[in-house]
Amino acid sequence: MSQAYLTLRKGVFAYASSNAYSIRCISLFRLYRQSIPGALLFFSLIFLLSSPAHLQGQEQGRRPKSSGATEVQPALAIENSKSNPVVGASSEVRVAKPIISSAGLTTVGLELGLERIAKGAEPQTVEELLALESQQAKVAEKVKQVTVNVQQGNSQGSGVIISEDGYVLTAAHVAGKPNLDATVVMSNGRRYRAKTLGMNRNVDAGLLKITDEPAEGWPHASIGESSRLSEGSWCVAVGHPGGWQEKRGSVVRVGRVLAMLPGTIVTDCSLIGGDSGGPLFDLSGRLIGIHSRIGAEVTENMHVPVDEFTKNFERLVSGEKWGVLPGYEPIIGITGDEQDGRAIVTKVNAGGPAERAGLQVGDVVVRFDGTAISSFRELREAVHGCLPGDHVRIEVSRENKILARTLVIGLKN
Amino acid sequence: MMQRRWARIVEVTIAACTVIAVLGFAISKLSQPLEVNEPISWNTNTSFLTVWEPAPQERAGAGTIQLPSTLSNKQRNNALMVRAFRTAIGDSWKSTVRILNDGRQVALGAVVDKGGFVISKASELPEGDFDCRTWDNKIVRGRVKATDANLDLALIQVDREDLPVVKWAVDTVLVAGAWVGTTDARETPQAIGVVSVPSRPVAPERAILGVQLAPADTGAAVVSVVPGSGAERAGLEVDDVIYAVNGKELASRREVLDTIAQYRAGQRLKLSVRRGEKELTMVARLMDLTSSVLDPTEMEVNGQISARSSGFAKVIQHDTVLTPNQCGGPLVSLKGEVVGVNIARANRVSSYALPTDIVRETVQRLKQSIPSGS
Repeated sequence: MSQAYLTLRKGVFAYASSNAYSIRCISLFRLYRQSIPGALLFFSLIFLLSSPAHLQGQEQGRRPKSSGATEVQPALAIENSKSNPVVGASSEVRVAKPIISSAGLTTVGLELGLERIAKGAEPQTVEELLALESQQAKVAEKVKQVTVNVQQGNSQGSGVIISEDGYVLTAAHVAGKPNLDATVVMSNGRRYRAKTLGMNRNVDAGLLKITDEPAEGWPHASIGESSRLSEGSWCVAVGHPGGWQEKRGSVVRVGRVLAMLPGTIVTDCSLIGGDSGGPLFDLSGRLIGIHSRIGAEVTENMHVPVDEFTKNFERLVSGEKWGVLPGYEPIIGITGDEQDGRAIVTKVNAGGPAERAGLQVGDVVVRFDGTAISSFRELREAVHGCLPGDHVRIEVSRENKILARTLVIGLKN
Repeated sequence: MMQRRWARIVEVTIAACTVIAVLGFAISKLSQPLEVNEPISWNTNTSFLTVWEPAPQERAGAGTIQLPSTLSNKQRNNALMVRAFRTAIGDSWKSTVRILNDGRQVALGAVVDKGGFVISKASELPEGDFDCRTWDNKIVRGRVKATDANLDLALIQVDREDLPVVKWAVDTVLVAGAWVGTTDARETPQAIGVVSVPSRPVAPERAILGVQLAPADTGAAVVSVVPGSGAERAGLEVDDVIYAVNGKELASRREVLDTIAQYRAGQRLKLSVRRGEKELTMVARLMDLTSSVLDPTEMEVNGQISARSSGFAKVIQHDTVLTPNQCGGPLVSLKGEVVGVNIARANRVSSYALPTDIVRETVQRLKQSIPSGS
């Protein structure tokens, strides 16, 4: 074990090593997210290191239910999508609103003799190994055109285009919040404006839509079904680790599914900062997941299953935001009265973000992060719209005066 | 063992976001930005130390994901895969040598020509004569005959003439997704992976010692030590005063910084240090740690990386998980042909290999540079 490793355990992450069975999951875009000081640091870093290439993003997206020629039905939208995940049965399609085109560009027919391996087995002969190599190389080549860099605020990650009209799947923590301006950078370096849409933070699923022209005709990935994966399934991960780099482009990794968990695929496709939101494909070039986070071991790489996007796609498109990133609940450290018509502070937690920002008992919060607040419930919702570490402007009414403060969102323990 | 780790995941997605916010805040308070030319960068303000120890409420993550108590053994490099790979590459592994220092492997090497010529990663090699273990498990003596510091390649000659020479890949077009193996001087490959980027440059990063320095009466005082850096490994501590580097006495912090800046990543510096009443000598290695220096999370997930891991005009980037002492040897295709020579482990997702054309040209050039009779 490296000295660096041990040293770091003694440092910031020492708390995690107390449990022999625990590993840490580390957000894959940590370097690229956060607030003005974060950005300052970021650019300082660039300065300091005189390294041209620390930023970048990529993105890949995929859309519900359109995996290649076998899938005929183009529409995924359903009225009750919130409670009824659609997995493609046409009888469940109740709204005729087409969301995505039927097939993406990344589907690759299986090489002869790969059927067994495509189901998750190891190659046993040189021929099989060569066939696997040929297959994954074809996938790697095809997916370049749909893998993008995503830049939102000061953060960067990756993403994947999943529809002709420019929907882009990414990680919720890359998108940040709904309805924000973002930039999508293609593998050739061309930049396009985009808007963040809905997100399911429970699983770290996020959505963007490219708003620049053209409105149609975007190269997009073929959507697969993560429910069909099993341990051993081969997969190809793409992304822009460390940010978009002109002389490098996207970076390919190959691995296998090591565990299928609710809301999470674990693989040994190694990921690092900047990969967040990037796509994971199966051997047929169909999108099966979106990169989310990692543990300390190089075999501990977590992805959002693509089914989490497809089953809630309508909600994501509508801009709805729900859930809390695992281990990432935002707080500001105050208590208030939900019944009161105003967001009045009844308690300020010692050492919490609100106290550090100078809030006091009796203050009435009137504005938070640009949103007018008229009840404590609204304040709670506004806080949930933030991520720990965000710097947010809060305005309170105190003794008939309005005071404005900047507050750093905290993390609920 | 690995499986045990999967028993449970404690999520710490917070991690560096908050850390960076803290650090950013610290930096924003500094009157001037980081000094680009200084091996240690940040000025003498010590507030950046908060990076390593954030306030308690900014630490732990709460979420827990239950993972299976045993992790699948279906990793891409499991025994079945390695067996298939071994069959594919044939006897090509016999052109690999292991380079030892005090009995421990410090690098691999590739036999590139008759007469016992071996190429390897220069910055990892011992000085003087050293032992090499060959494919038939024999130990032979070897020594560096010529070095290309830009490529970090060294041409070694070992006292044995009959070692099989590598089969160079000719006309092989490397594509992303192609399998590559890092051979060992034994039949089982050290590691396998795929090509991530067929060809790219890697810009040079500054070599750093990994300390923050303040002016001292004679030399420079250590204000902080970066975890995992050469300074830490050498045993430098806060309040140590560095008063000489490689025997040259230095009067000021400026002189210390300027002196360090003259060396490359991978090089070892002899530091003369005053600690209280004592005077100590320690050897510290410069590393091009790049952004990792400021990001302990990244240092941790990277695992061990090569001291010299940047500044290459052209490399093959692959995702093979290597350790620094597994660099220097052949990278082979499924045909057993050498497509490159591993030159660095750079981070969690990247290993670099110098492509065959560059290596072959370098071997010829270095051979010609050896004075006859030596």
